[in-house]
Amino acid sequence: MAGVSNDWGCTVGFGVWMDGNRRFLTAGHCVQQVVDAYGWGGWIWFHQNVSLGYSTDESWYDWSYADAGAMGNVGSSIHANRVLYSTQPSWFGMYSAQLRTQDWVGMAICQSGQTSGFACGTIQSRTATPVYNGIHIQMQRKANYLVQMGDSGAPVISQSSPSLAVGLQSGKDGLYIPYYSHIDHVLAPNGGTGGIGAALWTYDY
Amino acid sequence: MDVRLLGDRLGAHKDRRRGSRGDDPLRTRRSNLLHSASGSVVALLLSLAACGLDNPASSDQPSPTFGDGAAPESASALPDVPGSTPDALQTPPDIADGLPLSCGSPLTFNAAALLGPAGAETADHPVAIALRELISNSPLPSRPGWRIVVLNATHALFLLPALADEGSAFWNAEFEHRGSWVYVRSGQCDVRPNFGVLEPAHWELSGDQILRPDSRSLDISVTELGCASGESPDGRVVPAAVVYLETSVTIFIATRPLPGPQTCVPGPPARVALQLSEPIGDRQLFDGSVVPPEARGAARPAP
Repeated sequence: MAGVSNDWGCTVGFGVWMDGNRRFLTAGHCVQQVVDAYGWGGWIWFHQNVSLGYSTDESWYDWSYADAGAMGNVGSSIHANRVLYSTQPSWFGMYSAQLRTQDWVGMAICQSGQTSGFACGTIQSRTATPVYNGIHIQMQRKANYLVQMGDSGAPVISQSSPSLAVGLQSGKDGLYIPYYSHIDHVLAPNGGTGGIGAALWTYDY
Repeated sequence: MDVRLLGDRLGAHKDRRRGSRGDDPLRTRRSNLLHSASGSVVALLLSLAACGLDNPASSDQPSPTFGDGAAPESASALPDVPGSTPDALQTPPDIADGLPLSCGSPLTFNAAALLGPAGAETADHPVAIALRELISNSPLPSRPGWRIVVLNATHALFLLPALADEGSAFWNAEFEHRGSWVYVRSGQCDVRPNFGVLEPAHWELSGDQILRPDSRSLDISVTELGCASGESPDGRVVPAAVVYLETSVTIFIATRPLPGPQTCVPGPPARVALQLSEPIGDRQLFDGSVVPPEARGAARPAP
C-alpha cells in the first residue's frame, strides 16, 4: 500500500488489528511530528481527501527496535493488505508477517513508497543501528533499494510470491543506503524494545 | 521516429544554439556552470520528450549493446565520487562530454543509451539470462522492450519504459558481476542527472510572480528529493546550472545531502533567488531534475 499522506507526506504501510480496531501503520517519526505540531491525536490523516482518522500510537525513541506508529479507525470497507504496484496477479496477496529470525543478508525485498514507487533490492545487514539526530534505532535492516523523501512509513515486503510483510521504511544514509524496521519488532514488542503491538490484517484468499 | 529525423532534430538544436557569446562558449559560460557543449545533451533530452521515450529508436551516438560472445563490452561505469562535497555544480569534463544520467542506481549512462535498441531481454548473454530469471520471479513487468544502458565488466543496468499509469518513467534492473551475474536492485525509477554526491532537486516558480521577456531574475521554490528528516534544504542548495537554447532555458538545481542517517519525511521547500545571465525572452523554462525536463512556465508579454 502506498500513496497515503498527511501534510508531511509520509507513506502508510500495512493495515493491522489493534485492540479490536482496524488501523494503519506508518513510521513512528511521522506520527511524532504530528504530535509535536498539533498535540496527541490532533491531526487527521488523509488519502486522496478521504479521512483515515487520528494518530493513535507511536514508537520513536532512543535505543528502541522499531520506528513505528499507527493511525486511523478504519472501516470494514477498506480492503486488507495487497500489493498495489504489482504487475503480476499472483502478487496481490499479503499472506503473513515475517518473524524477526526469518530474514537473511541477501534476501530480496521490495519497498512501495509514494515517492519511489516499487523499489526492490537485497538486505545488506540485519543488525544496523542508524542514529537519527541522536536517536538510536537498533536491529534495523540495511538494504540497497531506492528510497526518497516521502517514503517514510512505506511497507517493505518480500520479493517472493505471495508476499510477506517484512518491515516499515524508516530512513536513509547517503544516497543509496535505506534502513527499515522489521515488522516483527513493530507487531510484537519484546520488553522495552519499542513497537506498538498489533496483528497484520492479512489478505483473505 | 527514425535515425535521420532524430539526427536532424539534434542538428537543428545545435545549429540554433544561441551564438551571441563568441566562439568560445566556456569563456562566457563558466559562470553558468554547465559547459555549452552540454547544450546538445539538453537538446537531446528535450527531443526525447517530443519523441516519446517508449518509441524504440536508434542513434548514431554510441550506446551499450551485447557482443557476440559472453564477455561484457566496455560501457559506462560507476560515477567518480569526489572526496569532498563540491560547493557548486562545476563544469567538469564529464558534463562537457555528456551529462551523466542515472535511474534509481549509482550506475550512470548517457542520454544516447536511452535510444539504443529495445529487446535486450531476449539476448543470448549471461546477464540477459539473469534478467529473464529476475522477471519471472519478481514483480517486474514481463512485457518486452528492455534496453541495456550500462554494460561493462562489472555492472549491467537495464531499463524498460513504464506505461502511463505505472507512476514512473522506467523500470530498472541492475546486476553486478561476481563470477556470475548477481542481482543488485530493481523497481521503478525516473531518469535524472547524476551529480555525484549532490542530489538533483525539483524547482517551481514561487508564488504568483509574473515573468516578463526581459526578466533575468527568478524566485524559485526548491524541494529536495533526498531524505533530510523533514528539514528544509535552505542553505544546502548549490548554485544552479543553466543551459540556454533557442527555445528553452533549462535550470538544474541540486542539494547537498545532510550527513548521516536521515528519516524520509518531507520537509518544506527552500526559497532561492536565481539570477540568469540572459533575459528569458520568449523561451520556455524547464526543470532539469528529471529526463525529459519538465516545463515550468514562460514569460508573459508586457501589457
